[in-house]
Amino acid sequence: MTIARTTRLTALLAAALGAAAPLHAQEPRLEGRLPETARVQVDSVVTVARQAGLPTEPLVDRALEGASKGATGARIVTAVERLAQELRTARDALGTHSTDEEIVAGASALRAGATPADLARLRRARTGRTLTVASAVLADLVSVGVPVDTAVAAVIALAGGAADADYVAFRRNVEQDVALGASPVAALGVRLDAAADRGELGQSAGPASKPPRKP
Amino acid sequence: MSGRALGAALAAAALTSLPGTPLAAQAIGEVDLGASAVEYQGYLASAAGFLNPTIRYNAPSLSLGAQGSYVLFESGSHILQGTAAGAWTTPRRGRWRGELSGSGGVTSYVTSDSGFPAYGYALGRGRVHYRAPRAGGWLGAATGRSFFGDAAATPLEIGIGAWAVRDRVALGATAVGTWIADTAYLDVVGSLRWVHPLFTVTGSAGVRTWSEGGGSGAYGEASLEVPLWRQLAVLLAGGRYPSDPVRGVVSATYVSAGLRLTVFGRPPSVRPELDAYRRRLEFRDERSPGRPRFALGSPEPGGYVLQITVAGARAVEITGDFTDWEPVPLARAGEDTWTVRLPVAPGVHRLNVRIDGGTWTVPQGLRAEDDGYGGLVGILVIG
Repeated sequence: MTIARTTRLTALLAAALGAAAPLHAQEPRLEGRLPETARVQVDSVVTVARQAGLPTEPLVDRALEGASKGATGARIVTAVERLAQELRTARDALGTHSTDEEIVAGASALRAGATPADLARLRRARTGRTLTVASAVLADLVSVGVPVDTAVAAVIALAGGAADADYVAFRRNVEQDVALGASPVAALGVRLDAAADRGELGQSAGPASKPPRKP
Repeated sequence: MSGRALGAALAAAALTSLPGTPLAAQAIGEVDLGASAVEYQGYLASAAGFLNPTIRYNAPSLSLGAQGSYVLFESGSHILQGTAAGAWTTPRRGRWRGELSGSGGVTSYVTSDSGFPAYGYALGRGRVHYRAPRAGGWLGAATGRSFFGDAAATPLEIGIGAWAVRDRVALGATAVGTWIADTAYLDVVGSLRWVHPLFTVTGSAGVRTWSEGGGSGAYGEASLEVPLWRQLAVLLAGGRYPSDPVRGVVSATYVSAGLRLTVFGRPPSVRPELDAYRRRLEFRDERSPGRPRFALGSPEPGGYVLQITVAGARAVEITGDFTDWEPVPLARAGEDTWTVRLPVAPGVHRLNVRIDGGTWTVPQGLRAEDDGYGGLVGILVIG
């Protein structure tokens, strides 16, 4: 399906579902910031997302970001639609009770290469605790060159015992090690070793998430 | 098995003496326990049980190791062996570093009805190492004395080696020429070590050639180590190794299975090296003009203090979802430090920084992500 067709379909769906709500001027933050045509289309996407129970602030933010960076209206609409789809996929994977922050972080992880199944595994491994930082760290690890499956295994390994601050420190240490010349996988292994020494690995780690040892 | 035990002790000492790998001082104690089926050259195949306690001490420039080995054969005969090795590495000069090491051992083969001369050796070794970030090589020689009963000989080993490491795989190759009494030969060996999250596989394959009295042919070994718990691992190994007249090892073919119990200590980590290198990198970064670095302060009433450090800037601005993507100027807080307090909620945020009205960039300290608009955006996570 082309972007244009997607846009038209989204707008029609919005019109059908949101008959009681006007399509225009839904988001005052967009007033005067976007070309009028783009603003209407973004409003439509936001309306559909709101009715689907998805967080809408990130969609507006994404549109404002495009506007501040001088993007064309069409490009802004495309970016917002893509984000809406990512949010929907993340919400479906993480569950309907997920917070907006978790969904946004999950979308970021999906964009980094994680699969919906990965997010679902992470949710199961970190039951009762927020996934916002864990999902974001997953995306961060992939961005520094850690293979997606390895990053997923590491984040899940930490899921049972690590606090958010532990995740942040873990991510920072791996990034620094990589910046210093360590291979991403080796850096991950070293830092998981250290996490294991501190007892931060949870019961969900299991044998599959044992850190790699140094060659 | 006794030869393997000796090899393991020496390999441990050699590993910890790799130049450029300063390790925190640490003592490690391990015990290998298991059973094997072994066929020494000139003997019938036999089952055997083995117990190998090992202790190693690693410091930044010094490593010491000692290992005992007790091998009990089904006939009731047994081998007692003790080995020790130590290595000292010189301070680094660029990518070069020297190594001086020594090793020695005594092996006693005790049969049920007769004595057997003990074998021993004492060797000193010198090596010069070259180490690049992910590869290196060495050139070295060793000599000393080898004893078999009342007989003694002066061996000489001259070798060259190279290694490379990439992610989970390490490859190595060595060529070592040996001369002892009227025996001489060349061993060319390739090795591989693959560290998988579930297991570690080590393998080697070699060929002995240009031999006079040392035998010839191909040989190879493989081992599998599967961690069961932090202190316990399963060891599986098998293959064929050649004779080593310098250290009193008879060639054999074997398979073995056992457990490795780490009694105390933990395997060495490269963390100290990384920490030291990081400090140097940060020192360099702090003096790199024009490269903004982002830092997030502690939460305060009214939000977080966002800090940008950049040398020589006249104006610093930040924009992000927490500013509705409107530029917000930072105030100078020091010679190269700029700050602003903004209401940033927990979650994932996107931001860019601009220096002196230039292009919007992603400062150091944040992950850069494709912004969907042809540029990059920094990702800030607040838990």
